[in-house]
Parts: sequence; structure tokens; C-alpha cells
Amino acid sequence: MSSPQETPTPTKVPTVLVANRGEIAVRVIEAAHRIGARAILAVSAADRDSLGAALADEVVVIGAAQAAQSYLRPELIAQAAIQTGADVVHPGYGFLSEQPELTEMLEAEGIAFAGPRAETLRAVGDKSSARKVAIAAGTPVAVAAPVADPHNTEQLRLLGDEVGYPLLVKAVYGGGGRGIRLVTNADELVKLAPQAGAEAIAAFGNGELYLERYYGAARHVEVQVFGDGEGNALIFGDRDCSVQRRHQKLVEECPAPGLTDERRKILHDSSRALVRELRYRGAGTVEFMVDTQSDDVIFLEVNARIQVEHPVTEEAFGVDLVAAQLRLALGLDPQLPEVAPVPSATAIEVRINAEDPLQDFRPAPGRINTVTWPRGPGIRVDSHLKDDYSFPPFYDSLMGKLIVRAHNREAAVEALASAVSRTKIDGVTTTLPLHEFVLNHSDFRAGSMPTTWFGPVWEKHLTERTQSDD
Amino acid sequence: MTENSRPSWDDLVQLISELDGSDFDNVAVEYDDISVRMSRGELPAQQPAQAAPAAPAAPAAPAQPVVAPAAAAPAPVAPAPAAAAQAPQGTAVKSPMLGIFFRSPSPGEPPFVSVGDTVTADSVVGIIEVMKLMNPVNAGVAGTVSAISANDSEAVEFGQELLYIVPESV
Repeated sequence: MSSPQETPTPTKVPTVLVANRGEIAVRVIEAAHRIGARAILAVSAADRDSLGAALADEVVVIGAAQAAQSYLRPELIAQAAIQTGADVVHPGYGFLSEQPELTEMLEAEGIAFAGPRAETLRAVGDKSSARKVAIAAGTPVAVAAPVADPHNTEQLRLLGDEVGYPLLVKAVYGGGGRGIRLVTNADELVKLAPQAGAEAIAAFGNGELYLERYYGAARHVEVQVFGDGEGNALIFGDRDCSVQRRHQKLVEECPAPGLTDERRKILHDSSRALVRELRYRGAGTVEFMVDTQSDDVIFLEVNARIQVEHPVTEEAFGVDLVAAQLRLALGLDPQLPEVAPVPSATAIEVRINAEDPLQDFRPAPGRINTVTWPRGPGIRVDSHLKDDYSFPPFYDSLMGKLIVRAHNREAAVEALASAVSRTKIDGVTTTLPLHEFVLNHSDFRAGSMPTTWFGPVWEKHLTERTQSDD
Repeated sequence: MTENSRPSWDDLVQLISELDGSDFDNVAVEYDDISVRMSRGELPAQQPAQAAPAAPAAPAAPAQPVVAPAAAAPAPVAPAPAAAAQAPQGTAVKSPMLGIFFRSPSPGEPPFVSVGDTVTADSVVGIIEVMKLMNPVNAGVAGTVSAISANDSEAVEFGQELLYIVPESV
């Protein structure tokens, strides 16, 4: 394995600068200590008293509380790495984790980055270039066809048949969900395409359209990869993250339940091909839609970072992906094994957020008086909460992740439901009640629900709850 | 601005005043080797000072200075801070970000301010260099410089006291 960094001499203790906050900062600090490194945490003014700051060997305050003046500034992170003599910067997830600017600044200073190369971040950073890479790697992508003329009825019908129904009419220059129309047959397409074109001109200044196959009942399944930077890949199974609300994942599990060997092979082989195509370095995730109504498997995107839900993979396979990231970045052997496509255990994670699930998931930061986590075999807690902690309002609402591993899925669901009920976070409103609901729901216990499952089921639950209160 | 030529100082001043009149919170503009970065966020050192208390409270204990950088930064082995042992008088001007503190516009030039100088709230009292970008630090309060607590070329953190100003009586 090559690295831009000189291999540290065995006598020198490597120094890791952790460029993140919250639970992932704690996670990276623990991994740094695990490999015998020093951990320096770069914090904003709001995180001086955080759990991560207490656990780190050294803390530097880089900027004001607002992320735009601290955690989102690549130059402040690079400067902090220089001032503290760091050998490697770990970006966590979010913030600067996929910003090529930071990687390049560090490279120019001879400081390693625990993530992919800048060129990889660029290649997978936007939808169209990621799609090109996926096609080059032979990964199945959604059928999409550009519309030459929205008024040409004949041509539209041919295109519609080629893509297949239902399909989405999308504006090439659109965004934020605007200008998208769902069409179920050719007559609708012919009627709606001219309107969509006119709307796109009005909204985006450009009327170009394309058609894309729509999957109304697909699961979200993703594959954990770890590349050596030369094209070789280790595959650490798959995760199902289909319990989502507005594209936010709530519950994740490894392995994805109910996948046929054939489908699993397509997912894993495609991911391996993408790693080769990109000569991907370090931990990454390839996300797919897995349709529940056809055999289609569709590439979504590559997440070029460690992900929030990485613990389920670590628990199911018994590996430490974050330590491996640090080792690889330091030019060391990542010490990861070859594993079977399916782990022998199941691990499930719930994300506990400072939000009120009964009030449209309104953020609920505030003062936490006491925290009580469950104990027992196979229970893991990744969290930065502590007693008497003012949960700051400046950042995302993730308070922590509760992960349970058991010998099979049924046992893991049971154990996690029990663990959730024994978790007490006193002082703020959390999403814990939602997890009790999901984990005890017969659909979830059966597994393999699509991403569209949670929204309506939760709405119905809230309505029934209100009625029974009356 | 003409293409294919470096912007003149006047170009930059014009650019900055135009950006200042716009709605951006954060702006970065780059031409070859010149970059302009502007931010409108709250920077404590630039906030208007509150009315000076009758007896200025002793400033909080100085933040832990950062370990001197290994190579890249020109920080010297820090001599004792310029401030005397007793708590300096006045309002602390704190660093708006992590970086290297410079007391003068460029090496060899006289410092922006020295002890005894009078300043207005807008006076530039130092520079924080972050990855070769120079960020001016304003006094934030009108008055007289009473102490300089950070050394020239010293690595500082956000919130670290740079110097003290005794506000002029209103």
C-alpha cells in the first residue's frame, strides 16, 4: 500500500487530528488510542467541554460555534494540523469529510488524510460524474433518457417504452425536488412533458428534460468497502437502511435481510468493480436501491467517508474500520481480514436524535440531566452524551447510536427493543419512542420493507394515538 | 477588471466594497495567486464592546497556547508573553480564529499598534494568518492599548487574548 506520507519510524507516536465533533469525534479518538496514537481534537468554541474534548490528549479551539466559522473551514483544519504537528487528519463524516479542498491543502503540507484521494472525492462528488464512473465499472444505474423535444409525441412514446413505467420527468438543471413529475403511462407522459418543459424554463432558465425510471417501493441497501488505493477491495458485507424519514436514516442493520445470493453477488461485485475503477483508498460505501417489485438493483452513489452506520458492520464482522482508516493513512497495514459475504451475527443500530417525533421531528436541543445506557452482551453505545450536558443547538441532532449484536436477526431485534426501553435520557425529548414502535412492528420484524414504509406508518400511528387520547 | 492580468489594489478595494454591499455571508474569490475571503459572521473580537464596566473584570485565564508548529509555521520558540505578571487592564481583544498572530502588516514593518496607542473600534490591531490567508483583527472598541499579550508570529487559538484596550470613557 502506498501513502503520500512517509512511514513513521516505530519509535515515534503518530498524532491524529480529529476534525469533527459529537459521537464520531469520540469514536475516532478511541480508534487513535487503540492504534497507539495521540489524538488531538479540533473544536469550535461550543465544544470546549464536550466528551470528545475530555477524552482527547490535546484540544485546539479553531473558531466560533457556528460550523461555517469552524468545522466547515478547510483552512482552519489544515492550519490546526500544522500547528499541532499532526501526521494524519481524520474528518469523520459530514462537514469536510468529502471536500477535496481539505485533502489538497493537507497533501501540500505533507499531512495524511484518512479518506480517499481528492480526485476520488471529485469523481464521486456529483451525481453525473458518479454515474459515469458507475457505468464505466459496469454497475447497474437507473435508465435515464434525455428528451430532445417535449412536443414530439412519437419520440416521447418511444422513449417512455425504453425507460419503462412508472417514470419520472426531471429537469436537467433542476434541484431540490422541483420540476419532477411522476408519470404512469404514455398518455400522461405526452400530456405532462410540455408542461414540465415550460416549468423548467420558468424555474431554472433551461427547459431540457430527461426521463428516469421510478421505483416506488425500493429498499436502501449499501455495501461497505475498504480499498487499498491500488484497486484492491475488501468487502464487508451489506447494510439495509430502509427505515427512513425524508431520506434520513433511522435504523440500520447488517446484513441486509432477505437478499438472494444472486442479488447480493450483484451488489458486492459491482462495489468491488467501483473500487477498482476508482482505485479507491480506505473506507467507503456504495449505495443502491433494491426494488421490491422487480429484480432491479440500481446504483445511487458512493459515500467517500466512514458512515454514521458503520458500527453495525463492525459488530457483525468483528472489525474496527476507523482504526483501519488511520493505519492505512499512516502507511501501515490496515489489519483487516478477508470475510465471508454474510456475517455469522446480525447487528442493528438505532439513531437517537434530539428531536420530537410527535411534533414533526422538531429539533429538541437542551440540557441533559442524566443519561442511562443499557448493559448486556452485544450492546454497543456510540455517543458523546454525558450527565449535565447542554446539547448545543448549532449542529445536527444526533445524540448517539445504540447498537445490538445477536446470533440472528430475530434475537437482535428482540435484544435491541429491550435495550431501547432501558435507555433513559433525562431532560430532552428524543426519538427513542419511535424506535420502540419500529422495533415492535410486525412489518419491521418481517424485514425487507421499502424506504417508503416508515412515513405513512408513523403518520397513521400518530393519528391513532391522538384518537385514543380523546 | 481586465482578463489575464492581476487585479490592482483598486480592483480589490472595489471588489470588496461590492461584496460588502451584497447578501453573502461567506465569500471567497481567487485569481491565480490572490485570494479574497470575506465573512460576515459574528466574530467576537469584532463585536461592539459592551459599555465598559466601572472596574474591568480580570480576564479569564489565557487559553492553552498551541504547541509550536513543527515546521511550516514561522513561530519561534515562545518567549515569555509581553504582558506583565499582573492582570492586564481593559477589554481583551480575542483571536477570531486559530492561526498565527502577526503584530505588523509584514516582517520588518512597525506594528499596527503598541502599548499606549489610541485606537478606534475599526482600527486593525493585528493579523491572523490561516493557510497564507491574512485575516485582519479589529480593536472592536475605542480606547488605549494597555497590553499586548500574544507574541508576534505566535500560534494562537480561537478566543485567545491578543491584546488589551482600556475603553475611552463615554
